[in-house]
Amino acid sequence: MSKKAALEALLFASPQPVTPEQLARILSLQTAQVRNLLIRLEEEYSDADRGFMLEWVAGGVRLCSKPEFYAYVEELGRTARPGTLSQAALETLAIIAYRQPITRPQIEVIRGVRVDSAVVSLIDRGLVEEKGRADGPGRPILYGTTDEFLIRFNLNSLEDLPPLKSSDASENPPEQPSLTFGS
Amino acid sequence: MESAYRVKLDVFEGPLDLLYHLVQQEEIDIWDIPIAHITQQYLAYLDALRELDIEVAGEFLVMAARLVYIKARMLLPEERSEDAEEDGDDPRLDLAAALLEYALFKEAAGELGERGEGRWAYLPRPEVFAPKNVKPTYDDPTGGIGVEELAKALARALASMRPPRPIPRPYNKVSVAHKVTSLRQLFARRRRVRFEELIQEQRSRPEVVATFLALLELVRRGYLMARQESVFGPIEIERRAQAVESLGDGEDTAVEESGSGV
Repeated sequence: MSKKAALEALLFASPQPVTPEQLARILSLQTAQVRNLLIRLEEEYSDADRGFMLEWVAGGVRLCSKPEFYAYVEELGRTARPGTLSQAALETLAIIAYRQPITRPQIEVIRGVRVDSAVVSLIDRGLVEEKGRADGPGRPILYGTTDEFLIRFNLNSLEDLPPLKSSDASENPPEQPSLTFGS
Repeated sequence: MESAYRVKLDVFEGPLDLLYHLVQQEEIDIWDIPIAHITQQYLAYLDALRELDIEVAGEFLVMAARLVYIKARMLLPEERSEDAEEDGDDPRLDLAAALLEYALFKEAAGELGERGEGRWAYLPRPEVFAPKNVKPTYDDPTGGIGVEELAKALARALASMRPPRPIPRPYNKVSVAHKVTSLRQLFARRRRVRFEELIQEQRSRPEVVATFLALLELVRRGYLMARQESVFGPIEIERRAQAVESLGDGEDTAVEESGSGV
């Protein structure tokens, strides 16, 4: 039995990204072997005659249709195009992504405005979820990003987030160089 | 009018956004903000945005107050006591730090937005077969059972559901005489009250019974009358124009005895 074919079957049957470790366990292979097979599949699919591709995202791999055929796929009724995120939602999402887990009041300190509705819309879109509660008064809910967030923004893991950088050159105060903005 | 302001709202996500915009526009060193000048500009914007949503405007006003406070502190000569020397810090530092932190995430949001651009065009296989957290089965998911059977099962389940247990309440004795008094007070204020309304207001079964008995008593005394305009229509209790209460005299005690502790 071709392990590569079996691997393809697993990818085909799984709409969510699967980790190479998971695939290796199912196929009784070494993770390294699975990685090699995945790379071979990826190459095969990259052929212009193929309509789908292998994507490494959210710590795993998945198959998806190639973006250039979206217009056709859409005709099937697969309208995946979500409404674009508002600036408020995007800023809130960025704060959650880089500072998670984070409470709503902490987000509000950074944004300087209330973020209730932004957080709700991010949860509705499956980009953000509750990650437990903070210690302290009221035990506020902690928020963090989901796998869907990684997929949506084509990230393999949170470490893939581009480093925070300021466009402003004078990031440090002249007489207070100890102030830092990283977490 | 409103739409013009909406446009402004879209531009500035909040007071920090507006402030950061002003600082950038003027090419100001963020650690040395000319606070009087910026405050003036900031307030000028607020004037233009006066008819904003109240909540947003509130946040903008808080920032305005903060700016004015910083401005005032910078005008005042610093009070230098030996132990509080560190308090002589530039009051603008916190604001500058907040602005920078905000700018950091505004920038990151922009990058994220670009990163997510066009991602919807990569379509995975739909989750029809494997909804999350459910083991995929490729048999007939209903096991050959039709909608009718399911509906019947639902009806059976509903029928066998136990009614929720009422929350036990402390048992209070309710006296009919007391209800007679409160009904009189009610009808002194209102001439006509719907029977249901009267009953719905009662908080417990004994209260309902006492109210009902008090009602009967008052009708018997000729103080109230019950009317029903149509068959099955709502019953209305009405105070009689000339309350004839002659019958009722001397009966109060009897009611109280029979009614106490319903």
